[in-house]
Order: sequence, then C-alpha cells, then structure tokens
Amino acid sequence: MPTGMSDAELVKLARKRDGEAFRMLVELYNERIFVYLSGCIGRTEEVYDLTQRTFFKAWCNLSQLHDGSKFKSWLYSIARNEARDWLRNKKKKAPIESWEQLELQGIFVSRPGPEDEVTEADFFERVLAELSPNYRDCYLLQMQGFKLAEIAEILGISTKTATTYVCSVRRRLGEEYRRLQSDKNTNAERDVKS
Amino acid sequence: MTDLLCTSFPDWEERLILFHSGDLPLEERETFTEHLASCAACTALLAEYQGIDDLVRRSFTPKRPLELPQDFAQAMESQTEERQCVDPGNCNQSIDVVQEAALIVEETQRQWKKSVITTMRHLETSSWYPSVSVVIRILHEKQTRHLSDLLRSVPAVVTEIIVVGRFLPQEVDSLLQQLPSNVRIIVQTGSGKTNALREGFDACTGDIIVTLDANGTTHPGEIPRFVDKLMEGYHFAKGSRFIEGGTTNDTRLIHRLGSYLLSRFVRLLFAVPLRDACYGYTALWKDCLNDLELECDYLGTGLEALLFLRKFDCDLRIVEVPSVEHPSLDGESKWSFRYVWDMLQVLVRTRVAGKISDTHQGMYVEILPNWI
Repeated sequence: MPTGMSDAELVKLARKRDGEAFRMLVELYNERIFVYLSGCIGRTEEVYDLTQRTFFKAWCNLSQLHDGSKFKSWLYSIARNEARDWLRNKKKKAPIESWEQLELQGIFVSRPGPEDEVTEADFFERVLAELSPNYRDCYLLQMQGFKLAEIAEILGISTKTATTYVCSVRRRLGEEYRRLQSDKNTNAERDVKS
Repeated sequence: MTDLLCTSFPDWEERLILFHSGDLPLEERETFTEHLASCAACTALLAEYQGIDDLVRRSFTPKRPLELPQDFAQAMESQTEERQCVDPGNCNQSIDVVQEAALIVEETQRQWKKSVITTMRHLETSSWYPSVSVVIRILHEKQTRHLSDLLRSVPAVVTEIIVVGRFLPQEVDSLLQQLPSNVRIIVQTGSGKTNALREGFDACTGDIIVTLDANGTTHPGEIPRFVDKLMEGYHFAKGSRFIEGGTTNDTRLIHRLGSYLLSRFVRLLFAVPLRDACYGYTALWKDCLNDLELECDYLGTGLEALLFLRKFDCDLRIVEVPSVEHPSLDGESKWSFRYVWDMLQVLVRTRVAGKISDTHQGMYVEILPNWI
C-alpha cells in the first residue's frame, strides 16, 4: 500500500473491502478522534471504547459515504454522535475526577516532575465540561484543523454562528487559563515566602 | 497574556480566529499577515490560541496505544479471507455480509440484552415461570376503598403486590389488616407519580414488574397476557386500547377522543409507532430498569408516554398488547384541561430539549394486530 494517499483514495479502496486501506485511515485519525472524544466526554477509560466504536461504525457504514473526500467530516460526525449518546445515556457531563482518583485508575502515567501538566489537563477538562455541547464541539473541531465552514456543516449551524461560538470559547479559555496561571504564580510566591 | 487591544479592526478577534483556522480569504490573509507583524495584541492572542490548543491536545492525548477492537479485527480478517475467494465483481454483496456480521456483534454487546438472553435460555430448558410483582400507586384515600375489590381479581401468577402512596401510619396498619398477606405497603417519601413508581419498583423483588391503576381501569386479569409476551422475549409490554382486541369502556367521549389524539400527537412528535400513549398498563423485566432512568422532574404528568419513549431510547424490544380499559371505580378521571395542557407541555419540552433521542426511530417494535 503506497503511503501518501489521500483520504478519498483510501476510502475508495476501503469501500472495496481493502482492510489495509481502512487500517491506514484508522492510524491517521485515531489519535485525533481520541483527543476530540476526550474533550467531549472527559478523560475516562470510556474514550478508548468510544474511539473504537467510532471506527467500527465507520467501517460498517462506509458504503453510505458517497464522497470519499468528506471522510474526515463524516468520521467526526460519527464520533460526535457517539459522544452525545454516551453523555445522554450516562446523564452526566464530562466527569471531573480528583487527582487521587486519576492515580488510582492509572489512566494517566505520571511523568517525573511536570505535575503542572496534569493540573492543566484537569483544568481544560473542567472548562470544556462546563461548556454547552455546540460550543465545545466548535472549539474542539477547530482545534483539530477544521475550517469554520466545515464545522458549520458538521454541526448544522451557520458559519457565522460557528465563528461566534469559537470566539466565545477561545476568549473564555484564555481568561480562565490566565487566571490559573495567576493563581499558580501567587501560590509559588507564597511558598517562597514561607 | 493579552490585555492589549487591537485598534486596527473592530472585529479583530473574529478575524484572528478566521486567520487561525485558515478561513480568511487570500487577499485579506495577506493584509492581516502584514498587520500581525506590527500588532502586539494580535500576535499575543494568536500565540495564546496556539499555546492553548497545544496544551489541550497534549492534555487529551492517549496515554497508551489505541487498539482496534477485537470484533473489528475479526470482521476485517473475515472480509479479507472472503476477498480472496469471492468474485471481485460481487463486492457489494460481501460488504453487506460483513456489515451484517458487524452489526450482529455490536448488537450482542449490549449489556441489557444479556440478562434477558439468560432468562430465555433458562426458559427453554426448564418449566421455570418468573415471579411477578404488581405496583399500584394510590393517589388519594378514596382509592384505597376499592383496593380490596381490585386485588380480588389479581391472578395467581402474581407473587407480590406493592401498594405505594403517601400514607399515614394508621392508614398503613388499617390497609395491612384489610389486604392479602402478599401485599406490601410502601410509604412514598417524595411526591408525584414518577417518584411513586420509582420507589415501588425499588421495592419489587419479582422478575417482572406490572403497573396497575388503583382506580380499577386496568384489570389485573390481563396480567398473564403481558407476562406471556415478556416470556416470548420482549423487554417491555405496553397495554394499548387502540389496537385490535383492545378497547375502552370509558363512556365519556371527550376522554376517549383526548386520549386518542394525544397518542397521535406523541406518535407525530417522536416518530414512534405508538398507538396508546396515555395508558398506564405496562409490564417489564426488572433487569431492564437499569436501562431506564426515570426522571423526577416530570412529576407524573405524561409519564406513561415518557416511560414508553424512554424505553425506545434504551433500545428495548417492545410490544403493544391489547387491553380493555374499564370504567373508573371511584368515578373520577385524571382527564382535565389542566392534565392535557401539562402533558402537551411535557412532551413538547422533551422533544425540544432532545431528552429523547432520535435513535429510536429504527428500533424494533411489534404491534400485535389481533390478540384474540
């Protein structure tokens, strides 16, 4: 299988039951889908299952995708539906877990030293969980490299609305992140003094 | 990071986002790139966007390798093998076969099904008959007067009767003296029909739960019908007055018409093949309760419809069973303008809020055309 093939070419092959082509698509997108789903539902073990289910559904319904060049948008739509179903079924927003819980679950491997990274992960998870789904989707999709027109198409909203949503989320993330940094600095100064 | 403001453009934040996502038209992009070189505010904000994106991405990156699911790998392998021996011109048929197999695997993964499948296997190999609990909600004291008459008609298959209501202690004692020994009284702690049913369901120990109305409109003699349908493999059996074999003896035309029209409305609103939305005669396996989250905020209004819809949402296998509605023993009816109005509000609110998903539209439901 030659590398550097476009999505459309890979989809074309995958639709002809070429498992290797689909495997390449999976390898291309699985991490991105994982990041997107983590942003939607939080960093839980379920994200691994949902990522798998997303590709599984994509494989099952590949014959329904007529335009291979739209594979990426189509895949994210499946992921979005999976996340929404999961949230709806669990009747909860993205979970916010304590540091102790995260350690106990062993989901995240602690690296020596940069504890701040986990704090930031918790922080982003919390901020995203507090957003309404459309706002969160807009931001996560834009972060994944989608153009606003594509986001609007996936979410069924206008491009203008998508722009407003992204703008609003970015502004909020920025404000909250600056506040986090400011708190951290204050704490550090206090520690130095004490 | 960016307390600075850009004065060159009134909509500079939006522009920056368009620039960041590559949505800015080419000519504007060039102008904006030139602007960026001289604007500290825009440069700082753009750096903030990129920095936060990197942090978010890094926060959510998987910490262990993502693996393809076992089922998917098997499906892939089987299709690859198939590809070697099947005529390449016959691809579509092969895709269908793989897809069908994959859907079956997905279906069997559903946890709720396991319990029922186990039960069905058990049923096939033995003469086991499930234990049946009946839940009756008492709305007011007047309904307790007819309870003895109602319970006299309860068939022998019923192993337990739960009566739920907001009783006073002396009322409980009095009821326990009047009623058969297999009746348990549950004093409702909350309010509303949903809460009553939830507390009643929690107290049930039977394999099957049947709900009856205390005013005698639902006749207990029909319980074996519902149980039989559940034992055929359905998860939920819903009584229906508007299918063949079912009817209503409510003489008031306005009630019959209202009930029928509301059911049609639910059918239209949620696109489910539901014939009777406003009838409380239902039976389900207790195991399936885990899939059903009753919400207290509905406080009973429109509950029958929502209970039914929620089951659609949980992907349960549902059957409508014909049932005959009898005249109310206490001569009262829940029907009023207020009831209809509340129910309409609940249904519309549920639809608008998307509390019932659209996934039920392809789900399986069987309407029995002719029971008798």
